[in-house]
Amino acid sequence: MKQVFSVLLLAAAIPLAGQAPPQPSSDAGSATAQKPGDADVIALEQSLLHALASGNTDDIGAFLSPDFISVAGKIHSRAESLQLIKVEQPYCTSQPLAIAHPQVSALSSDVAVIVYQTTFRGTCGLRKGKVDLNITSIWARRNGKWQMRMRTEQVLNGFVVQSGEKEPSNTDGDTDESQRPND
Amino acid sequence: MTEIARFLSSAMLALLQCAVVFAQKPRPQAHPVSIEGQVIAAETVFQKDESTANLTALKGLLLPDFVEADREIMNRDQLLNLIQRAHSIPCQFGDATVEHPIVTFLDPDIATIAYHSKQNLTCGGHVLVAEANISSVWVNTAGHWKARLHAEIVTAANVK
Repeated sequence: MKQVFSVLLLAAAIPLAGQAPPQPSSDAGSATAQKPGDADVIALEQSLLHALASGNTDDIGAFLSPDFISVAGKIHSRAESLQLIKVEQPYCTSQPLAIAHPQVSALSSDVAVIVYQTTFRGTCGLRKGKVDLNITSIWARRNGKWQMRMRTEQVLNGFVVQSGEKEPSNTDGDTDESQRPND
Repeated sequence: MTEIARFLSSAMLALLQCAVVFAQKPRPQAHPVSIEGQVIAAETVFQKDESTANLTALKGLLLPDFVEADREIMNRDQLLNLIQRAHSIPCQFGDATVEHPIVTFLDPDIATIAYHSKQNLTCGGHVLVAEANISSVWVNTAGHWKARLHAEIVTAANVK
């Protein structure tokens, strides 16, 4: 189940009507020889989240390098990740994802890491869920274009209920194991 | 005598030539480890140092600004402290495997590795087998690969 929600997060169909999905900045960090700033990397990550909102795998794919790897309940390649999004996206909706407590590190002028927390709230078919996650994203600039090379999603806690069921009143770390998303 | 001397002289010359040829023959060398292999080896050492609580060695393997992103996000000192506390319980940690590693290079001195791992934890005759998907970022610093980021996602935990 965790994997389902990892996919949901990646496929987060955030209804941002009227907003064109931002494209990855090709000049984050402005000068080629300079390391990208924290704001640049956060903007890149947010741009990906916006692209995910579109649910358009072409838009999402533009952010993922050919050798992209997703590490969650399973390890997926770029093609596998996009295929999962394509399968799940029509049935799933999500509230906008926010980047909380970001830690950004520029390892070089062309490589940056961002670690942050976020909360997925949404539905997938008859299932409704709220999941807290730690996200790690590795961005690299190749031929002037920033793309994500690796993404790791750690589920912290959360719940999944069927439509009509009562939501847990407290999901901060004391989630019923039987309801915890787990791959 | 002359014949004997000539024979010995020829024999010595032949031996000398053989010695020269032998000395010039390329000696078998240890197979150089690929850069990808170096990253896998570094990750394996990381796991070994963690499972044996070799904190001094582990500290040297992690960059000062290392980040561990699990259920908690920790810095280097916090991770070392956690490992020390984990090893204070009367259990034995088995070696963690590095299975199906995928190594990619972000630039010549920055690499990522993603893989599946299994590790046994033995406590009072019970064996817990934990499995995880793991990702790390390694940075080559002055010829030594050091970890900058490490994340573990537990995918299974079963008691034998």
